Order: sequence, then structure tokens, then C-alpha cells
Amino acid sequence: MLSTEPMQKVRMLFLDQERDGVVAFLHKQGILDLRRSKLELGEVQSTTATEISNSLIRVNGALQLLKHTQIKQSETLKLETLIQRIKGASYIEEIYGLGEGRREIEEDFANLEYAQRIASSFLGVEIDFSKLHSNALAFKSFVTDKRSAEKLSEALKRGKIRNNLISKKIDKKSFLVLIAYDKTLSIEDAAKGLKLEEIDLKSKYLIGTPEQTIANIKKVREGYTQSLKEIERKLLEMGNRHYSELSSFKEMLEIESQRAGASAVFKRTEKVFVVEGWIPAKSYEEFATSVKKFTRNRFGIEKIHDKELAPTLVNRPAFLKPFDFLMEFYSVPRSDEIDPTWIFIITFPIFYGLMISDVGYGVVSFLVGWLLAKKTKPDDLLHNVAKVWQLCAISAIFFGFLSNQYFGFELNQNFTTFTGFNWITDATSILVFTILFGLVQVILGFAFSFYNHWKHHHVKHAMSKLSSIITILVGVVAVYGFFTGADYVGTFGILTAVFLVITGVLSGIEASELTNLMTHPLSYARILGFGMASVIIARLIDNAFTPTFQGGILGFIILLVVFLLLHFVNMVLGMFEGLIQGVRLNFVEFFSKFYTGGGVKFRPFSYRRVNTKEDDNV
Amino acid sequence: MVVPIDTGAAIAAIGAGIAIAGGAIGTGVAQSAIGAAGLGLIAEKPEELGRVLLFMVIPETLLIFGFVIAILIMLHAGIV
Repeated sequence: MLSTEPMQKVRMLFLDQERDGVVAFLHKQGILDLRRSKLELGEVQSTTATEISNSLIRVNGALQLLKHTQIKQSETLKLETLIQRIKGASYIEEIYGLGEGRREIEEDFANLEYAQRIASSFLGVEIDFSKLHSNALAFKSFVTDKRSAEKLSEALKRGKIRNNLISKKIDKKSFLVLIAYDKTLSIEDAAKGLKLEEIDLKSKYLIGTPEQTIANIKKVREGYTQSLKEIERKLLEMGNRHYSELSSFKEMLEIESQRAGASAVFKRTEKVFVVEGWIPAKSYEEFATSVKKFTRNRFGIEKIHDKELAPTLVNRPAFLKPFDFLMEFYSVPRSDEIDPTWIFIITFPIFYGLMISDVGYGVVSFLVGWLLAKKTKPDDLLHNVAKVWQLCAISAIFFGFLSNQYFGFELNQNFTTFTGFNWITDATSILVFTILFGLVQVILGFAFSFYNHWKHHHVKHAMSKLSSIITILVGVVAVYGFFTGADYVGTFGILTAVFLVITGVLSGIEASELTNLMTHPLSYARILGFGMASVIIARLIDNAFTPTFQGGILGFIILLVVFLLLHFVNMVLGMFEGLIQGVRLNFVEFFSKFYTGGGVKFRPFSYRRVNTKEDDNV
Repeated sequence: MVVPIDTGAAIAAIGAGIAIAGGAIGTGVAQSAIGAAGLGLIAEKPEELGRVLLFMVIPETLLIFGFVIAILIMLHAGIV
């Protein structure tokens, strides 16, 4: 329960002439996490990797241009046949052609848009864009402000540049300026330092007067719209005919690509090639037997015991997988240390539930989590958070019932005589309970740390963890004695100090963390803090804004809106704090005692077919 | 109407308030620095949001200590 799956590293030797078949077999087995062999032998080069990669790019490109349609499972093809089929699929070129046509039109739409804007700006100006080409004159146009337009005119005069300058007000601030000037001269100096935004007059769509240009653009746009509709229709037709086949090609190529890529971690001699990797220890015999059967005993297998860290594999029920995802988000547990995920799975919902402690808020939490999980993909962080949230919401409903909280109202007495606890009147008991909870979790953290250090023969550090546990225990007795006025308080006070010094000496550089022995268990008092705050705010909202008809219908509606809005704010705050603080108590107060993390997740060399049928001969 | 004031309880209540205020100010000062650095990190690496959020709430322990002390003061003074 608290350890990851034991793993075994293996080395296998196969005949090189059977390489393709062996790789496909190992891939189908899906149980071996491949590792690069450290043996000083030759490298294995894949002869098909480039061809597979090129075909995959081609197929992917075509698929992206098509709309998703229903996929019919197809037969699996051998690699050579697959490559030939893709090469011979002329419709792929047709799809690319349509895609290219669409891209060109979409790009030209931007040019049309630009020309339309320029032509609209010139409306009312006597100009023919077709005649803005001359051997003697150059033409430039700018959008600017009134002051810059005047300055430009003056600068041109000062520079003795003969010109014809037309300016037109476009809106409150902007002016349009068109200058025709001697082509042999330059207006760069005159324009220097002025706020001028140059207009490109060379657009191919600026033909004739502005009115004619706008009419022409309208015509071109209509033509393009028709063309785009035709392209979309053809792409839809292509999709209906070929999407399914292309998807199966893609899947087969991806599987072949994985097989070709796997060669990079193999080593070889003239006749044999070497494969190394990790498998779950319990599957070793079964795996060796299946390889023996496949190769008709023409192979060698041995267990390797080197210092490489084994990958981490955990076996947990599917509905708890989101917790593993959160753990991975923090750091994957190492295979050689205690896996605290189960503790996290148990305590996190308790923390969240206690901090929310309201049946109403719990129900809303559950619904929000359900909705979020439905709207997100399984691999998303948010999806996994939503799944965890749903489980935590059940805990919030449970503690809400125990503390008799329904959106701040007390309703238990209407259907049960059961009395749980009260956040206000039982504050002292809850405070003691939360700190005791913290003490248990912190002591558990030190016990795990003791085990980890002991396992790795770090005796001194292991002893320091044991000493930390004793310090906390005698410290608790001393504090209890202090508050109850017991006469043993002095003895236990001295004992606490002695064990604190011993812990400091044994743990060396970690001595600075001695204060954590006191502060970390106290930190669990936040459960009371956030729980109480949430309940008090909910009650205040209920007292002040519960809708009544005293102020008429309008008053009722206003009170109802304020009531719902304030409860929504309190609920969001509670949910956010519940999630963050629940994670924090585990990751900071608990994990910091023992957890190293940084493990490598077990990733077997495997695949999953969705669009193609499994075929034992391929 | 004159409300009788228990001077001891009033002083205790003020003390509890100071305990909470001190913790809150300390938390605020620490979170302002962590928040600024954290936002800088998120701007570069948005995927680090979860970790930054976690670091952001670490100084809240100070406020919790203030809260615990306030509760203890009020318990001893018989206010709650």
C-alpha cells in the first residue's frame, strides 16, 4: 500500500535477422520500459525511420485539412504495403491543392481588406489610383495628424521640393495626405521626425477611382466567397471519402514510428542485438516464457542488478487515478521510497471537507466538479482536479451534516435528533482536534523518513528522525502539563529540551528546521480558522440578507440576488482555500518530513489501436 | 443606556486583535514578495501556476499562529 510496484531490470539477446519481428512482439506485449544499454557494442540504425516520418507528416497534413468524420476500423497493413498505399494515394495531393487554394484566398482577403480601407479613406478625393504611375513623378500617401500634415508641407517648401500635396480630414484626429513630387528628389528629410503612417499605394486592388476600387473589391470578394464555398464542399466530400482511411494510416505509421525509434536504445554485434529495460518483477516469469515461445527459444534473458533507479509504477483503482496525477504534478514518488499517495488520498478530502463543512456548498462543489470534468479532457490538470474535487465535495457534505450547516442555516433538527459539533461553541475542541491531527501526520512523516533512511543505511539520519518523534511526544506531554498545571511539567520540559538538542546534533544541517517540530503541527489549526470563517460568514449573510416579503416583491428580489451573490463569493473563497490549504498541509507540513520525489514514471513500450484491427501477423 | 465594560476582557480582546493583525501584516509582507516573483514566473511558464499558488499560501502560517494565539487569549479571558 505504501510502496510502489517492485521492478526488475532485464537484458535480452535476440538474433539480428529477427529484429523487426521481435520489436513488434515486444511492442504488442507492452510490458517493457526500454532503457539504453550501457554495453560497449555497436549502435542499431533504423532503415525505415525517415520514410515513416515523411509519410506521417504527409498524412497528418492532409488530415488537418479535413473535418473529423466517423472512423471505421480498418485492417492492419505491413509497413511496405502501408508506405506504397500512401505513395499511391493521389487524393492526398488533391487535398493539399484544395488547402493551398483556401490559404491563398484567405491571405488575399487581408489584401482586399487593406485596399478597401485605403479606397474608403480617399472617397471624395479626385484621384485615379491607376494613374499613380509616372516616369517623372513619385507618389506617397500617409495617415497623420493635422499638425504633422502642416509641418510636412512647410518642410517640402523649405527643401524646395516641387510637389502637389492633397490633404483630407478622415476623422476627428486623422488626416490623409497624398503627395506627388519630382522622382529625382527625396522627401525623407522633410518627413523625418513627423508622425506619419505610410499607406501602400501599390496594392493590386487599387484600380481607378476610390468608388471604382470599392466596387471592384466587392466583386472580387464575392468571387472568393464562392470559391471558398466550393473548396469547403470539396474538402467535406474528401473527408467523407478518405478521413477514416487516413486516420488508420496515421495510427499505423505512429506505431511503426515508435518501433523504428526504439532501435536507438538497442545495441548490436554482427549477429545479435541487445534489448534492456524494466518490467514489473511479478511478471518476469510470464514475460520470459512468452518471449521464449515467440522466438522458439532462440534468445537469452538475464536479470540485471545495477544502481539505476527503477521506474515508478503504482496500481490503484481507476477512480483514484486523479490523485496520482496531482502527485505527479508535484513530483513522481521514487521507487525506492515510501509512496505517500494513499495518505494524501485519505487526508486531503478530510481537510477539504472540514474547511468547507456545509451540505449546500458541498453539493455545489460536487456539481461544479462534475461539470468541469465533463468539459475537460482526461489528460488536463483541470480534469483531474475536478475529479478530486468531486470526491472532496462528498466529504464536505458529510462534515456539513455533522456540523449542521446548510448554506449557513441549521436544518438537522427538522429530520434527525443527531447533534454533531458546532463550529462556534466547540471551537476549543476543534482546535485541539486539528492540532492533534497535525501531530499524528507530522509524526507519521518522521516515521516514514526514519524508514527511508534506515532502508538506505543512513543510520544517523534515521536516529535523528526517531529523536524528532520522541521530542514531539514529550513536548506534547509538557504542553498538556503546562495547561493543566500538572507537577510533571518541569521533568517533561527538560526532556523536551534534551531530545531537541539530540535531534539537532544528529540531523546536522537540518537543525535549522527544529522549529518545525512545533510550527508544523500548529499549522493544522488553519483547518479551524478557515472552517470557522466560512461558517461565520455564511451565518452573517443569512442573518442580514435572507429574502423576506417585508419590502415587497422588489425588496425580495434585491435581497435574493444579494443573498445568492454573497453565498457564491463565500463558497468560491471556501472552495479555493479548501483545495489550496488541503494540498499545502500535505505537501508542505507532511511531505517535507520524508518525501524526496523525482522518480521516473514507468512508461512501457506499448501502443493502443483504435482505428485499426490487431493482426498477429503484422 | 450605559453598557458596563469589563476592562480585563476588553484588553484581552484588543490583544487578540493585535495577534491577528500582526500575523496578517506579516503574511501580507511575505506574500507580496512571493506573489510578485510568482507572477513573473507564471508569465514565463504558465504551467507553473500550481506550484506558485502553493508557495503563495505558505506564509499564511503566520496568520494561523496569530489566530491560534487570539483564540487562546480569548479562551483564557473567558470571551468565547
